[in-house]
Amino acid sequence: MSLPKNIFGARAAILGGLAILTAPFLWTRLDPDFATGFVSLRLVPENGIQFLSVVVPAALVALAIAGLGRLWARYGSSKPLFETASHRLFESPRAMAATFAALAAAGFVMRGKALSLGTFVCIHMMLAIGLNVTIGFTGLLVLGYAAFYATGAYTFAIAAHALPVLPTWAALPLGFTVAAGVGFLVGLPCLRLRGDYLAIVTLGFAEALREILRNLSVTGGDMGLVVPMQARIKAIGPVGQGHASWIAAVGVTLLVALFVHRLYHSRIGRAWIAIREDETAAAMMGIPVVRLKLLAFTVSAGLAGTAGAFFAGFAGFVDPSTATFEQSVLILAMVILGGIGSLPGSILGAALLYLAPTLLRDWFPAISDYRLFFFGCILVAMMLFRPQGLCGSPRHKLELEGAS
Amino acid sequence: MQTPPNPDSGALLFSQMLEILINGLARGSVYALVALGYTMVYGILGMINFAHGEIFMIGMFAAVFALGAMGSAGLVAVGITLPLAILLAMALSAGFGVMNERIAYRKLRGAHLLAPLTSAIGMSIVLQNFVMLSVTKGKVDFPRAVAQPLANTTWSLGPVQLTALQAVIFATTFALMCGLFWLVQRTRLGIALRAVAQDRTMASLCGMKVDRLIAFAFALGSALAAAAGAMVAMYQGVLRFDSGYMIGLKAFTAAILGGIGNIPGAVLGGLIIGLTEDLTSYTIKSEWKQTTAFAILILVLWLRPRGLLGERVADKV
Amino acid sequence: MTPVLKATGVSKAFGGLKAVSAVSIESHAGQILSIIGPNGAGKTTFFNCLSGIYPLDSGTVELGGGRIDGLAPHLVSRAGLSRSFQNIRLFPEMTALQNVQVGRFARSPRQILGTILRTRAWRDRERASLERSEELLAFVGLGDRADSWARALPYGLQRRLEVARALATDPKVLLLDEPGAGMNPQEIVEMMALVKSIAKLGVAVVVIEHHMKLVMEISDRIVVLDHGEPIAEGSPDEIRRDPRVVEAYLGRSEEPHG
Repeated sequence: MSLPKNIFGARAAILGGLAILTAPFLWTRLDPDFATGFVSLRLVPENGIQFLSVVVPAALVALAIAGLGRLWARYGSSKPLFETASHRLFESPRAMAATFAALAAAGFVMRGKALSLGTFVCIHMMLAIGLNVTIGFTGLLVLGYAAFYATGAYTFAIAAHALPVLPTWAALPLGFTVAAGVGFLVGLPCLRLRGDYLAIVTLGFAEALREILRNLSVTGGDMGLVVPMQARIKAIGPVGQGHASWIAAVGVTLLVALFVHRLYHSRIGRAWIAIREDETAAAMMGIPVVRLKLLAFTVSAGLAGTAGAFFAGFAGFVDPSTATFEQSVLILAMVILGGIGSLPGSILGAALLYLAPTLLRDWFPAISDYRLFFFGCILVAMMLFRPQGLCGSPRHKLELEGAS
Repeated sequence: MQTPPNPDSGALLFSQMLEILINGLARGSVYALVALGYTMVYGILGMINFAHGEIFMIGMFAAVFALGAMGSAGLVAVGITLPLAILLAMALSAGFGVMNERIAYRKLRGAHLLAPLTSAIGMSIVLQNFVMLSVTKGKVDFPRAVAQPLANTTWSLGPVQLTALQAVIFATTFALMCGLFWLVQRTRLGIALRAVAQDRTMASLCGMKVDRLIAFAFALGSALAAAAGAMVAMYQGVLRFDSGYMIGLKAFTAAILGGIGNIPGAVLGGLIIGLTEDLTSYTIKSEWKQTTAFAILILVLWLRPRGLLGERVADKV
Repeated sequence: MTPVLKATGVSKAFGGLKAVSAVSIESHAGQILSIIGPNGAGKTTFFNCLSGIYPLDSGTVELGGGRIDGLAPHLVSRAGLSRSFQNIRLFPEMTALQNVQVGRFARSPRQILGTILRTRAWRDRERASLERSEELLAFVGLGDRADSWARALPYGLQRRLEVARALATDPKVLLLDEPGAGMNPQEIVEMMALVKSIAKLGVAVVVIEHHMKLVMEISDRIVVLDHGEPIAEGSPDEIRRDPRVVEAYLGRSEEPHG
């Protein structure tokens, strides 16, 4: 049986194949009989209808959005807009100060829930920006990024327990340094490995770290640790705790973005991109490839640690769920959605991918179970149809798309 | 005060070792079956099929569905239902594997590694959640009526007992691996697969239908994983929609250990990982499994980055 | 006059295949040495050995008196040896200017703190690096294409960009791997002029080429390789008349390009 040659035929064949394959899952129910120990299969059309009643409309919505996006791409040209806007922002201290002041002031009119949401969005922006340094700029594949996030978070929590006088702002340098140190140690043996091996090794590291966090008592086991009150972000005068957290989050995010922006627009950033594009040629131009890969990896880990420590100071507790694969994949998806190698893209991607499921949960609670499913579909769809993400350069599309 | 040495301790140790050996080999052969799927795909496409663990999981469910269907139809003889269920599970998973390749990977051949990897992760999430949404969030029990008779039938092998369940696992995995070796080494199809793995462009220039061969490789790997899934489901007695993740990681480690792309290597790697796991859970506590697995992985990649039997990776021109 | 680059008895085999056998060359400042030979003669492999991409099986390579064989490629570059590639290997996602700027990496001092804090010193050095890169682009004739994407440049200009990038590392020795490949006669004439002006700057140039016209016109000395072995060495006139060279080419059913 050969697949039909024309595209409609191929698509029909795929849909038909999917229909057949998914049939046992969608249209039946398993009835275990505890007495006999057998199980029987019952035909339950409602099962499949319920599934399709969510997935089909969602697919239609996605197609509509994609269609709009294509129109926008053809008739508007705002894509460079993000890059130039971001560039101008980070090149001008005055613009940054103004942005910070505006966002900080906005906190007065935001409700507690919005402040908390906003703070979490900022944390994930930091994470996405940090991951972009290794994946986007340098081209290294890292699948276990959440490990460094957890490192920063736990470091601050443990330190706060050990040193009751630890000030809240110490979270940042502490989280950065320890996580960067761990990143350095992990990167030292692993960065010489092939790309996909590095990915798996980082993944294995994250899993091992999660296991360690769950097993040791100093890390609080499965329940995690509570951060002592005095180390958490506190209210300052007229500014409540939620608001203070928001202001701190905005500030730190801007600093992180500025840091990465400056690294990018320097000989280090150029060297990173050169390594990504052609390692051998980069080496021939005098770039110490392994050392710079290590630098990228370390900086990236440090930034995740910063975000983690901030999270600890804000949320007031840490637990092993900060080091899960889901967390790593979420951050990866944010970077890809925003556009690999694009700083404003990471910011945008983080905002979208954090807000979307939260809003989904609030507005369509009935289908919030489907959010991971949609997330996976988005990942696949992105790689198939728009690998360069929202702000990535179209040249990235050529790099990421198949040759055949 | 010292207790006098137990005169039977030697024999006890021996029987414990034998038990570990049997358990470890059984576990290892299951890992090997799954590892074969990873290694074949990596050998041909140079990519990690992240969703392979989910294919394994689908095989588990498919086996239970098959048994359920047969149970509803009144067919209950274990001697017939079990092999049939495994075969049906293999067929369904093969279908999923082919579909997976067609949808998520074909377009991304030759692209920078991040693309198929991300797509694979996405598919893994899709498959997991699909099963969670369409079947259940909780656990599913493997029909006791099929598993128990096998678990209860035991034969004495020297100082240890061998259950019929373990025997089935050994027999099935052995038969499947022999079948695979025969296919790859002694048939034209196998030669074609190896050609595609070594030099895809050349193979297509020689008239081989590369797309179909790749699809076939996926089907093959998926079928093996499904068989492994059916057996693990039988052995564990429960299935969940996320049962594939952990075994996927371990099987992939096994494939790397043996030398990625290397078929005998995958088998060797699987057996070693299985044995090591049983050995360590006997000595080290099982809550450090992940850390030991990771340590093993790092050690292997450091000391012998090509794996124990050497890599066979596609020449990505 | 002491040679800037001196390779002695360089050999490299891949499995059973001897790609390069006991090849020795001397390259002097301001002079152009060409390496020619039929396809598969090991010329690019030899370059890869010189630049540290392949470890040598035997032999030594000295640059300015110091040994560079066995060094990692980036250290070879820092010692003062730079190259272009047979298949152009520009950084496609960058502009022409950024490509050249990458070459300035090793010649700029390390200053992470300066980068982050954007100190006056850092800004001065960035500007110096930028100006030098613009200078080099103008030198190779790409002054007006500084902001073009490297991938978008026509083939001939890409080759010149690669040369500019190699020059950005301030090399003492420049290896050019088939700088004239795929070019039309006009572009070849321009490339010849460029190579000559590079030599005039005092750089020791070693060129692999197939275009005999190019080779004969610009070379001070020529080395001929066949099957990885040196079979002749001398001035262009000597080589032109050397029967072994003619045989090596004609014996392969290849005509020297006229």
